[in-house]
Amino acid sequence: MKTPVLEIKNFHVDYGLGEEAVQAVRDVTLTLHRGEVLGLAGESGSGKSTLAYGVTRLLPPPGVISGGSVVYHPPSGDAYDVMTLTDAELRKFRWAETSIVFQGAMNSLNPVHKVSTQMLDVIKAHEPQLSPQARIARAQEMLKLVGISADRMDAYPHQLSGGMRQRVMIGMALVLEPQVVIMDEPTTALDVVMQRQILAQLVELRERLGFSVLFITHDLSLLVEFSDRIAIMYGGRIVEEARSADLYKDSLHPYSEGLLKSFPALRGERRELSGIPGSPPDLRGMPSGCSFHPRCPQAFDRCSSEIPLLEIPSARNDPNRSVACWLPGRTA
Amino acid sequence: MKFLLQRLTFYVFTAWAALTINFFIPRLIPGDPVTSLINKFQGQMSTDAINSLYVLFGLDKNASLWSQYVDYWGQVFRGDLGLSFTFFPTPVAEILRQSLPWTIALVGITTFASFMIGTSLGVLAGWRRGSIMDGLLPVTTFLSSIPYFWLGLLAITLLAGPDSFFPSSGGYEPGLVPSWNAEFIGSAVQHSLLPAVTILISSVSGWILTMRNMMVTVASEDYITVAHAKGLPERRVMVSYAARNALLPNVSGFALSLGFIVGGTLLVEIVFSYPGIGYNLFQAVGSKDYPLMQGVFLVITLSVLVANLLADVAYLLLDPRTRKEG
Repeated sequence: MKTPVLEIKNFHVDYGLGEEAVQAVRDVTLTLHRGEVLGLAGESGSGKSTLAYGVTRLLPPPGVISGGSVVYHPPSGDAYDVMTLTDAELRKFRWAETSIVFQGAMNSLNPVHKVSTQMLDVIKAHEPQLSPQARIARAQEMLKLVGISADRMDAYPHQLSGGMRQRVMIGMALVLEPQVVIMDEPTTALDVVMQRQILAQLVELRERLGFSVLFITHDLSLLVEFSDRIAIMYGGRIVEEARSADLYKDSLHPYSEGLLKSFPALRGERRELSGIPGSPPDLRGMPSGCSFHPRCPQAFDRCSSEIPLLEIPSARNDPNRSVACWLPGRTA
Repeated sequence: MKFLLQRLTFYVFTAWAALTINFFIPRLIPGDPVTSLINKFQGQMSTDAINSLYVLFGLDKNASLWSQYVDYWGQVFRGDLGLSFTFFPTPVAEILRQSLPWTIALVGITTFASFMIGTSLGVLAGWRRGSIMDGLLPVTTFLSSIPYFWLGLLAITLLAGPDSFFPSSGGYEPGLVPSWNAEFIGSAVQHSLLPAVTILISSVSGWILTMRNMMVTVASEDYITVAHAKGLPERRVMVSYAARNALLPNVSGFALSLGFIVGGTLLVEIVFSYPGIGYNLFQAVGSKDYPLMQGVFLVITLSVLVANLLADVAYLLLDPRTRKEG
């Protein structure tokens, strides 16, 4: 039975306040289950990174969480809403329960501190009772797991290659054995070979350590291979959510379809590449109704007037998937 | 280590060049120090005395420029900088030895204090952007735009006076003999308060502004977000992640300002008639005292060089990226 570990409910994020506010994430409801890899895909500006920052309350100003809750279920004990934690509780929650691997692999490490300093300070902050030797042993063990030899502990970030730095970041993200790891385009800055190596390692580590991953990327082909479920985001909303295989073979939202047709699949039969016409919507002036309708090849009257809600598609009686689209057989 | 040796070679070369220029400049200036000394004694000197004065100043007309140059270097290494005219016949080295500690104590301590205070305030102002600390900014901009001498004169006019606690000039009570006793030190501190405070006021704002700006720049770096995401205590993120990195440009600025401690104090010491090296220079210029000027310039040049070397070393220690070998 799947148990949830992180439940994002009706989550809203605005940039700015009042009339001028831009709604970057709107009414997102998403559940991450224990031990799964949930992929979150979408174009630039679809709000996927904002969602990640919002969930961990790391949004830089003027980002404001304007509504919703993020319920975290610890392995033992009662579930709690991350949004209501005090500053001190939030600090304890961060990294120990939910860690993040950021987009900028190159700049995520402080250039003036050794790798060891940056790994040990997080262990020290969360587990002060651990002896210094135990901390070092823990950090070394974790680096070994991600394929970095222990003697690299004393290296400075500029002495490591991009791939090594990202491995260090992943090792650092796992060092407290969190339940949830949010990965925000962790491999965008790396070449394809390094990308695969790191992801393969990640999948292996997940099996060993049992954490859940929220994997954010614009590279849908990558998600199809590595994730258990995929959620597609467009204009700040989730438009479709399904198991990877289902989404790949039988996508229901025209946008998902467009995304899938935008790049060659890594495996499977050949198919025509087409891309999506037009450009992502301007968040300051979202189209009425379904925000995808100006670019949608199958749009009809209803699409420009009413916003479709994310529901189990009427044509597929499958509780594991949902879609927000007015086309027949989808949202009722 | 190799890097350090390279820098060292560079500084030795620069020092050589500076000293050589220092040698030539007085010889290129129309008229010579001896003539002005003779004028001072108004013809009461014999020809022999005049000739020996030329030899004494290393300006022997019979010696070639090259042998003068060699002699000059010999003198520099012996610490012999010639005799001062103003305080004839006190050697320049002796005058500098007396005035240097005053300058270093007053300006050295205030520069250090100003750097520490300014940097700490800048860290806070940059970190708590949008809080009351921002109110500090217009004030500091205003203070940094006040010309120093005006601030000094204002301080003297308003605070110093015959009945005031703050003396308006000098380094210590005129009746006292310089020594390490409580009375003299107390008097020296009392005399240094007003110049110190005015230096502090006019220089601290520069540190605040640069440090704040660097903090704001660094605060948007990815590793700061990561540090927050790691759940580190706020203080640790501010000090060890943000301020530590923002400090780098300020440290080299600080090292450079150490070099200008000696040279940059002219106005302070003139306004407060403080017995430091800047005041020496002022007196030397007033009475065409070439050897003293040369000596002061030498000290200024060397201190700037040493400060630069310190800046290099400090940077090497603080920023691992500048170290070439692992």
